[in-house]
Amino acid sequence: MSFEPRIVAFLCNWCSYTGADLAGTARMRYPPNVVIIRVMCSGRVSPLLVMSALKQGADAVLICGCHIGDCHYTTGNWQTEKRIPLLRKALEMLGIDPRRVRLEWVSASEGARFVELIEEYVAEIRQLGPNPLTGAQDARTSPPSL
Amino acid sequence: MPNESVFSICPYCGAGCGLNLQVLDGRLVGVRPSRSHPVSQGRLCIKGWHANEFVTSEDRLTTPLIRKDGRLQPAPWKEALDLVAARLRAAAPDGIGALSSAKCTNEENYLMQKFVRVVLGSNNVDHCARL
Amino acid sequence: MLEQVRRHCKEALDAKRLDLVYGVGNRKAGPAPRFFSTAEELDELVLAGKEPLVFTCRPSDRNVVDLVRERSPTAKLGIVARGCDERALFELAKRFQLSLDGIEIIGVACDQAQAEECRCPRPYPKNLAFGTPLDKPVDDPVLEKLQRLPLEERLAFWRYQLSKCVKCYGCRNACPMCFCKECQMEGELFVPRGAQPPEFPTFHFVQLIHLADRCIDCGECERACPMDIPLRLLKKSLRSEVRERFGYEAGVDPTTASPLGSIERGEPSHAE
Repeated sequence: MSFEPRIVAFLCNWCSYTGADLAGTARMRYPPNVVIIRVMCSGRVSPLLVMSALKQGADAVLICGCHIGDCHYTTGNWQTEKRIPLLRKALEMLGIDPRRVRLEWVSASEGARFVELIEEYVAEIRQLGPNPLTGAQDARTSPPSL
Repeated sequence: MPNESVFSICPYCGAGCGLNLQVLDGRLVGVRPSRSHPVSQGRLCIKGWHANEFVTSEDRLTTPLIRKDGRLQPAPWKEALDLVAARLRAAAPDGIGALSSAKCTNEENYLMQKFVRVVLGSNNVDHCARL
Repeated sequence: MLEQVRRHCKEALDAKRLDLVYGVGNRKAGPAPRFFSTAEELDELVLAGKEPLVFTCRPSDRNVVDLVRERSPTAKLGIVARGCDERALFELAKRFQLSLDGIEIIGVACDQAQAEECRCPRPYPKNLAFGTPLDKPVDDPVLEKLQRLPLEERLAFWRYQLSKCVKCYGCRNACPMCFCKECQMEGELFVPRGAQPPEFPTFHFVQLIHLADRCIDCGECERACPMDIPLRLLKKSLRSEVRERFGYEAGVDPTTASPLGSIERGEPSHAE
C-alpha cells in the first residue's frame, strides 16, 4: 500500500480558514490528506501543539496565518514568524526533518493558492515518507556513537 | 547571616545523597544538591530535589494518634506506647509485621529484626527501601 | 586573584559601600553559595568550584537573590559573579524575577581550564572586575559531532539518550531560568502522568522550547542529570539559532529584551 501522508493544518480564523472555506465554496478539489484545526490566530500555535500533533500521528504540520501586516490582532503573526523557525531548528537537532513543519501565509481571498499549497505540500511529504516519531520504535539500547 | 547553606543527608532512602538545605532567617526555603558529596556528586532524584517541602507540610504528624470512636485523636506518648505494647502482647506472632527503615543504622535494623524474630516470634520483617 | 577579590570585598564592607557580599564559601562539607556580612567571614570566600550562585528555590519558585532582597530591600549587595552567574542575574531581571537595584556585580573571569571544563562559550561577565577574559571562544566538540550526524542517526541518538530519563525533574529544578509557577513539564496536557521513561521527545521538548530565548548556557541541567543525558546540546543549539536569527543572546546584556514576546523595530505595536 502506498504511503498516504496525514497533515494537520492549523489555520487562523480570519484569513487562512476563510481562504480554505473559499476553496470549498468554490468547489475546488484538493487532496483529502489534510485535517484542519481552526485557531483564532497563528500566533496561538505553540510549538508544543505542533509536537503534540507529530506525536499523535501527523506526518507533517502546516501552520497558516494572515499575511504579515494583515494580522487581525496586529502582532500575532509577527510572533509566529519568529517562533516557527526556532521550532524547526529544535526538530532538526532532535533528528526530525524540519520540512515536516511549514509556515505559510494565506489570505481570505487566496482559495486557489490554498489548494496549490496543499497539493504541493502533500506531494512533498509523500516523498519524505512517514513521520519517524510515529513509526516502530528503534529498539537499540546501546548508545549510538557520537 | 540572611541565607545559609546547611549540609544534610537526604531523608528518603538508604543511598544517603548530600543536600545543601537553603535556610533564610531560620526558614527552610529550598534545597540544592551537594556537589562535593561522595555519594551523590551533585545529583538527586525527584524526592531529594523536593526534600525540603515536607518539613512545613500541614499533614505532618506532630503527636501520636489513637483511633477512638472511629476517629484518630491526639494522645500522649505514654498512652500510645502502652497501647502498642498491650496489642503486641495480645496478638498472635504471625499477625505481627514490622517495618524498619533504610535510614536507621545497621545496628538499629539488626535490633529491630532480632526483636521481631526472637521476642515477638514473627518472620514478617520488611523495610522502607522500596518507598 | 582570590586575594584581590577578598580584599576588594572586605574594603567594600568596611567602608559600608556594601552591606552584604554573596559568593561561594568554603566549608567542611564542601563549597556552597552563602552571604558574607563581615570581613572575617570573607576569609572563606573561594572562586573555585562549579557552584551556581543564582538558583530557584522551591516550592516558592523564586530565586535566592530575590528572596534575600525581599528581606533586606535596602541592603547594598555585592555579588561575586562568573559569566554564567551574571547572565542569570541579567536575564532574570529582564523577566521581572529580581531587581538589580542596589546590586554591585563583582565580575570574575574564568580561566582556560575552567572554561573548557564547563564548555563555556562566554566564561567572563560584562562587569569584569578581576581576571582577563579569554579571547578565543571555547568550542563544543560534542555539539559539532552531533551537528554532523545524519538526521536518522541523530534521532536514534536522542531516542537512546532520552530513554534513560528517570523523570527526576533535576534539569528543571537546577535551571536558574526555570521559574514558572505552573510548569508545563508537569502539566497533564503534554506530559502524561506515570509514563516512565517520559514520552519521547515531548517531555524534554517542553523545556527546550520554553528556554529557547532564555537559556544562558550555564550547563546546570546537564550537571544535575543523574542519567548523564547531554541535555545542554539541544539548548545550546537553539541558543545559537536565536543568536544567528535575531542577534540575541540571553543574559549577555542587561537591557535588551528578547525578540520572542517583545515588539521589535519595524513591527506593529498596540502601544501608540
